[in-house]
Amino acid sequence: MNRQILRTIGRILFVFTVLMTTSLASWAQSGPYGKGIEQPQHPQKPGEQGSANMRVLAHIPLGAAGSVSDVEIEQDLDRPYAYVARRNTEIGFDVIDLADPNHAKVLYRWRIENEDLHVGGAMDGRYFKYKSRYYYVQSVQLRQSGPNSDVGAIVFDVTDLPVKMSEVGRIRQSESPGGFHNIFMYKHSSGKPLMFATSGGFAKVFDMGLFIDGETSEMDSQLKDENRELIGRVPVAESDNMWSKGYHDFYVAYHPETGQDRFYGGGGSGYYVYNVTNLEKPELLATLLGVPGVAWGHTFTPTPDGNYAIGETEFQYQPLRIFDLKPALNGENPDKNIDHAIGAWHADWKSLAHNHEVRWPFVFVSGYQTGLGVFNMVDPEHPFTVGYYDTFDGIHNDRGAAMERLGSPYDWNVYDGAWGVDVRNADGLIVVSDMTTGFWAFKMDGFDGWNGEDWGMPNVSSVQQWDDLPSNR
Amino acid sequence: MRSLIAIAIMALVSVPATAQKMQTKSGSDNIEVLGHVPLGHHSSVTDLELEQDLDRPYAYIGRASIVDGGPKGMDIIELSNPAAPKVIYEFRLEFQDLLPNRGGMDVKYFRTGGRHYVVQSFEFGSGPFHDLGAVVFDVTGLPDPNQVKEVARLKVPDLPGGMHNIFIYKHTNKHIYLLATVPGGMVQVWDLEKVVQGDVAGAYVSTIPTPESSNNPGSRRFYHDHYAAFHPDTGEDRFYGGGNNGYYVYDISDIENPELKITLMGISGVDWGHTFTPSPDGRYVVAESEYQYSPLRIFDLKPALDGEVTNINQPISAWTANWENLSHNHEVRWPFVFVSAYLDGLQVFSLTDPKNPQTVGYYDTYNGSAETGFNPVINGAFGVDVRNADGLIVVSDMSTGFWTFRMEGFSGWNGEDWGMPNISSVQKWDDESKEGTR
Repeated sequence: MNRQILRTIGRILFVFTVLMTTSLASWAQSGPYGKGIEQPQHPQKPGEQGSANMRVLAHIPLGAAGSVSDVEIEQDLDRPYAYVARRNTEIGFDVIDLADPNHAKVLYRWRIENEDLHVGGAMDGRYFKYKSRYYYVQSVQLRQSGPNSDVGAIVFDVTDLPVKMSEVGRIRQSESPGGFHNIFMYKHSSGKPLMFATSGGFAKVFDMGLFIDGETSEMDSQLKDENRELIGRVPVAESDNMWSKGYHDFYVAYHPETGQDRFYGGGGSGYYVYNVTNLEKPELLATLLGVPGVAWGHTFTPTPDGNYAIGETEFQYQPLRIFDLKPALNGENPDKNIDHAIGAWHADWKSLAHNHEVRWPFVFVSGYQTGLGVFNMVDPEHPFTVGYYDTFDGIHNDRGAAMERLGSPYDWNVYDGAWGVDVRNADGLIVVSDMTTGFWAFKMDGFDGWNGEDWGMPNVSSVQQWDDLPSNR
Repeated sequence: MRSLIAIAIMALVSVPATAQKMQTKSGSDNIEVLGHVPLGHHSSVTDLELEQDLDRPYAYIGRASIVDGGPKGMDIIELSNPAAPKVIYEFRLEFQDLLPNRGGMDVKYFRTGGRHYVVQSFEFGSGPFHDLGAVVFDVTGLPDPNQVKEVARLKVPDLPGGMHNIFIYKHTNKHIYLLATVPGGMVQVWDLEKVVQGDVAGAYVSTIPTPESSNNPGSRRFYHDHYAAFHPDTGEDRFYGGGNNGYYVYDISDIENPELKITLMGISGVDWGHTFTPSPDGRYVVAESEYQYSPLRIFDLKPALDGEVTNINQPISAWTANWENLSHNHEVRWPFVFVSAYLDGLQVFSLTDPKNPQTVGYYDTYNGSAETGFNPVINGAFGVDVRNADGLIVVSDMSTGFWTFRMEGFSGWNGEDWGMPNISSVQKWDDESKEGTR
């Protein structure tokens, strides 16, 4: 009897000791929100590509290495389609059927006519809804050594998927050939479905309603004006020694506090925020110039309230930086400029991130050779990793090897792996396009959907509510 | 039952002890702290220099006011027992209360004519010593502090603001030159023998410029730090400078006519270069860019040395102690690189495989808050030096003072032991040949 009691007490003491040691050690290493998951170096050990909370639902290899670019997922659960852009060896896009995310399959492969004659590929893809029909816009960058170098985007009516889809038309900009590298679809406060496109030193703004409606007068057919739908140009603010004269990527969102439509662009020598409520007169609200290590901005996405923004610069060793925009927007900084980050995040300091999607407090990152990464920025000064899955299975963080493998001229980054990422707000489905390994679908434990209001934020993300005005959200 | 109670007490005591140990382990097991001397006000310690002769066990430390409250001058530390270093001399500029922030920055020593000298650089944006670049001391009579004599002051009235960094180089032409950064996009070359002989006015003998280009006009040009070394393959004296737009390598064999050999510009993530140090054979270079999140980058100069290119714009690898911080200065003792890594203290990494640098030792000298009124990531280990004769490592920490270390298995350095020329920042004042000798 006594021996039994002693054994029990001993066990209790042992468990107590272990628990105390663990909890104190954990407390010693953590901040107020914890340090999150320690992300391993790349490549990981076999079987350890992902964190325990990240489940792979589907993986579809799509073709030759380096032939996959960005990805877009439709948001309505009854339209379970993702679009994956294809480039180099196959120019077009693939439609993925996600009716059963565990058994995703390629539904349709669209390829440009005379594919072998074209040089370049499809890059960014976005969908929109207009007058009850659904459209997918595929941006393309086709070089002048082949046909269609003046085409920036190709528009498809995808309403009747999974049965059929059809090309509606092509948006051309012959004054600035080379296509559109990135595009963004935005439901403006005016009610118009707008496409913002990188082109010729601007973010050009196209009224996609006008495009879909087509010719409305006899003159239209005579003029064949390729700028008929071009209703605005957002410039890159001039500064000394600009690294680039154009934009690389951007995001547009309604800003509830001011009632403005705001444009967030990366390019030039950093990042730029414009009020684009009046598209004829974009108003510069803030610049992020002179940020150490940032000679050029890539992707730039604000939080739902517009107070913070995540900035990427596409160079090896550069983390994603988190900026506090408030001092520039509220007049605290008279020059309206922000020149330093307040926080930063890396999946692996030897690599770099590519695109990202913000669903506050989470940021979903397609991190090239680190694959999918998810971090939490509830404390913007101390973001921490909450999940990951490395979709890339090649040699990691070797620029030379990546260039040789893909024949890439881009020697400033480790250019392979996860290119694009998107999130379906209705159920939290995460999709990733990997340049080499193809299409992936994931679920992260505990993330079953997103609505900003659940997190005390405006319900603003890249997801547009096509049937409503932004101000009614 | 008594033993159970004892176990319970031990368990309760050992839990916080375990947690504490995890919090307070500051260094790797192969780094031994020998000595530590706190030097006063936080953010008041800058660079340091260690004499190389074992019979002259002295270190020199710049003192400055990076934020308010620091002295402006130089301390001399006696190290005959590295486990018990002690301050034996404090030089302070006149009118301390009138001086604005900053003060003593970089410090280097040299020997000529059988006497030992120290050059302490100074930097002031305004005030009575706005034009002061450096003060030269005769320290031959150490350890007697009364024997330390000020020999000269180097002033730059046309380019006021001081000398941020200096390097002293024994040239193949036998002259000993001070290479000093000054405002105006150049490094000035001063003949130190002339200085100690009293000919200060005639001592400024040459200028090493930063290359000018269309996006690099005169007003934006500057050097931040530099290094000079003999290049055995070519027999040239070479200058390695970090400044606006990147890094530059000059042939300074003809000291009055520096010839640009290699540029490292257009490097992603490098707006300007800070410290830039080659391997003993001049093939690889370690390059710093002083901003948060920037690693030390390793470049292979071979394509430029072979004449295939004149510009290098891609590193072959990088190293960081902590990607959220940044490194400051470093000393190369191939294959090791000793780094004063600000908030990460002393760090040592190996370049045995230059494409895969590996950390081999560390000790965090900084234990304070990052919030000291200056840039929060610019605090902690500022300078580092290594004594080749016995491998003694010294670090100056902006806030915690002076430290001495030993790294297990590192009992000194001679490049030839590693299949390299015996070339480092350490000059051989008495050698006729620039080639390394045992």
